[in-house]
Amino acid sequence: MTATRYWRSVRLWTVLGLLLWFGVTFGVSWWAPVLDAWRIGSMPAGYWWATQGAIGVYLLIIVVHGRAMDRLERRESARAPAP
Amino acid sequence: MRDPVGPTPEETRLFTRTLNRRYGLYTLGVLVFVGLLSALEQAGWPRSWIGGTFLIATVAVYAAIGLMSRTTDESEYYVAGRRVPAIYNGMATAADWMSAASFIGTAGVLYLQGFAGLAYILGWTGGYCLVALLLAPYLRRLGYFTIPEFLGARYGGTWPRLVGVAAVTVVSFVYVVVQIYGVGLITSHLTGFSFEIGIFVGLGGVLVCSFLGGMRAVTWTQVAQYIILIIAYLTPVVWLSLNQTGSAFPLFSYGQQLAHVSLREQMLQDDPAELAVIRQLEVRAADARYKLQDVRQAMADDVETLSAQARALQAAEAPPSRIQQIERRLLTRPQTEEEARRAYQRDYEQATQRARPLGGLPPQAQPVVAGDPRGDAQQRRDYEQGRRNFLALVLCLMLGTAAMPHVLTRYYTTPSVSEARRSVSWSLFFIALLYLAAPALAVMVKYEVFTNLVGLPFDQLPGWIRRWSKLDPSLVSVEDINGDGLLQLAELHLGGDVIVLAAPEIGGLPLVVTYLVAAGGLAAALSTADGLLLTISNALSHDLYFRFINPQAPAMRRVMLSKFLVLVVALGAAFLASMRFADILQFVSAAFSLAAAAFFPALVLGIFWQRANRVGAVLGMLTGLGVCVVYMVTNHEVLRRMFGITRALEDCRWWGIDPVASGVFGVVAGAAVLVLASLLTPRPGPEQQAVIAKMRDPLSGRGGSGVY
Repeated sequence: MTATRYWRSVRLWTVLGLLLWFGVTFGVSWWAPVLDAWRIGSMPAGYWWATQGAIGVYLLIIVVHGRAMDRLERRESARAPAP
Repeated sequence: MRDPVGPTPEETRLFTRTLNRRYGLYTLGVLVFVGLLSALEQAGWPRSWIGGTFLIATVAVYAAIGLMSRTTDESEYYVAGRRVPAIYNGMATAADWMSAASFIGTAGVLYLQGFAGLAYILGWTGGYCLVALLLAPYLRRLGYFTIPEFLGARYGGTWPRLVGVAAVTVVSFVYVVVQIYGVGLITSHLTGFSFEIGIFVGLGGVLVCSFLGGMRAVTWTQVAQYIILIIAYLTPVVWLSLNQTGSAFPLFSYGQQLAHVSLREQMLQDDPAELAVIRQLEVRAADARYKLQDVRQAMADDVETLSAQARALQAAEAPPSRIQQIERRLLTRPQTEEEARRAYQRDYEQATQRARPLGGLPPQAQPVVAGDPRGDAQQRRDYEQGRRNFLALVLCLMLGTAAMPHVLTRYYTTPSVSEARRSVSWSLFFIALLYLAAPALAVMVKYEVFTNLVGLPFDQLPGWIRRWSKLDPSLVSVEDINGDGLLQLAELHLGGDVIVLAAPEIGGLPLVVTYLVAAGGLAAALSTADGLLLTISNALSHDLYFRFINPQAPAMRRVMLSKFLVLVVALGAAFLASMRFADILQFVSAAFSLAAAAFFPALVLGIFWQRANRVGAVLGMLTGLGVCVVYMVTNHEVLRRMFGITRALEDCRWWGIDPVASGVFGVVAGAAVLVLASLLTPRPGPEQQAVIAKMRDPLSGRGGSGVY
């Protein structure tokens, strides 16, 4: 069944995206004091991740996930041409 | 059956080109308008004229777009004809999303709370990952008009949809009252009208728009409002950065300002004049606490001290203004015991609050302020609790973002599922422009205050301090506490709402920028109010009236009813806002918790878990809401007083989480009940299975290729 295979890939990509999302969110919220041991530019790293880095990763997750979904959908529609 | 198939990709491309041209011209027009006003300011136009012109011109533009987009067509009214291209839906969502609280409040919170305020930045951006991965594409694939309609189709029966309508109404209504409050605040700042008149002037702009053209008018106005609000927000940030660091890219240059601020914080902490002020404040706090022990006696003592002071001044032939000051204090003193008790309590709280280092502002870049991971048991516990609350608030705001009905409805308006996904990326991009700038603005304003303002003699303070403290002393106030004639940080009080609105004046920018910023805040509040009003009235007319009361009603009648409801809800919200509840802004976060608890489990499990059924969904939503409300009532200061909760606060806390983040408990409880109840009752029926199959069909909702 193509539909179920499609859905399996969708689930896989979604779980991967969510894992990355949670990793970044938790990492920044929980370990910011630890991250501050490093510096990015002239900012403490924890502060940089919370104000800029995390937002960049969130945007990246959405864009990459969207691309992957588009590709999956194109593949499925090529397999089952429109009536 | 409605046709969820939108226009073809070719049509969308052509439409996007038309829109690019129109909004390009519009943006140019905005810039010319601002330039013109700044020339008029040079030519000596009075303040109030510039403010009034900004107010009238922007509201007139929004109303004109609303008028041009008026419609009675059902699909146009509910989902803007599903023709909105990804990038423009992104802008509209950004304006829909960013409320008065985002525009005015975020930088203020960052100024006042430092790192702790970043929970809002993280939460309000990261939530879009959940929208993109879990919700928007699937909602668009089914192609309904409202969120309760989705719940009704996925779970079947009456109850899921009814509970959905109730939850949409409660969540959005709480939120819209706050927006209208913001409209009133900004309009009165722009024009000098009273707050109540401000509310109704602003409301006119909202109504013309959503009343005449529904989602279609709201969409195109929101795009226009986004353009104004982002220009308004970024102008002072870039300008301040140019003034302070010489770079036009604050994102890369404010790191050095942060370093300066941190250095200055250390210096101010040990400054002898600051310490002297703190000691004075501690004396005041002790004094107020002493008075609170016997209010009646303290009132009599106050009268005596003040009269003695007045007599002494008269005897010494002091300047009449000082004597008048004492006499005024004597006249305005609290008359009843209850009033006096409240006044002493307020004195006590203010003095304790400000007697802390740096006037109560935590160090800007320090992640967890309370406690110490290497200290004793109590300090370790405080530290743990600090970061646990930060994480809980971040997650709660994210889940709430992903469940706000007025934002989710926006993704119904795109031409296809793929465009819906792309549109979430654009939304986050446009939202991030503001949220990346907010911490920079907070840091640069703090730099300005710490280095240029603190230490000035009182008779040389800049004009904005006097003007704002006259407008509202709870926003700005200064007082020479240690009597040295110089301003110490602990002698200056800045409210959170003033940071953005007064940033241009604090940085010494022209007056036009001040009013541009106010117009941007107005755009943010109006656009969110528009989206919310429409969501409430659509739920009531489409889901309640059409589905349950009069299913035979023709489309035209439904649209008319929806318009009428917009009017009623708007007036109700304006009435509530005009009562000016003191703690109104605290209810913004309440709206997020409620939305998360009510909708998140039912929506996400409905899409990803086939076994979720009607009983589970209804019980899950009610449990989520219930847990959330109970936690707020038992833990929130204001609500505890309102409901007379006497149980000790420590016994009501779960894992020490603040009531702001009560949504996390609501979501977990709601999801658990949903799963359990679904497993104990039969599987969803064939109709619901068909809905699930359609949601998972990659070929449905692809846009205008006619495949359906």
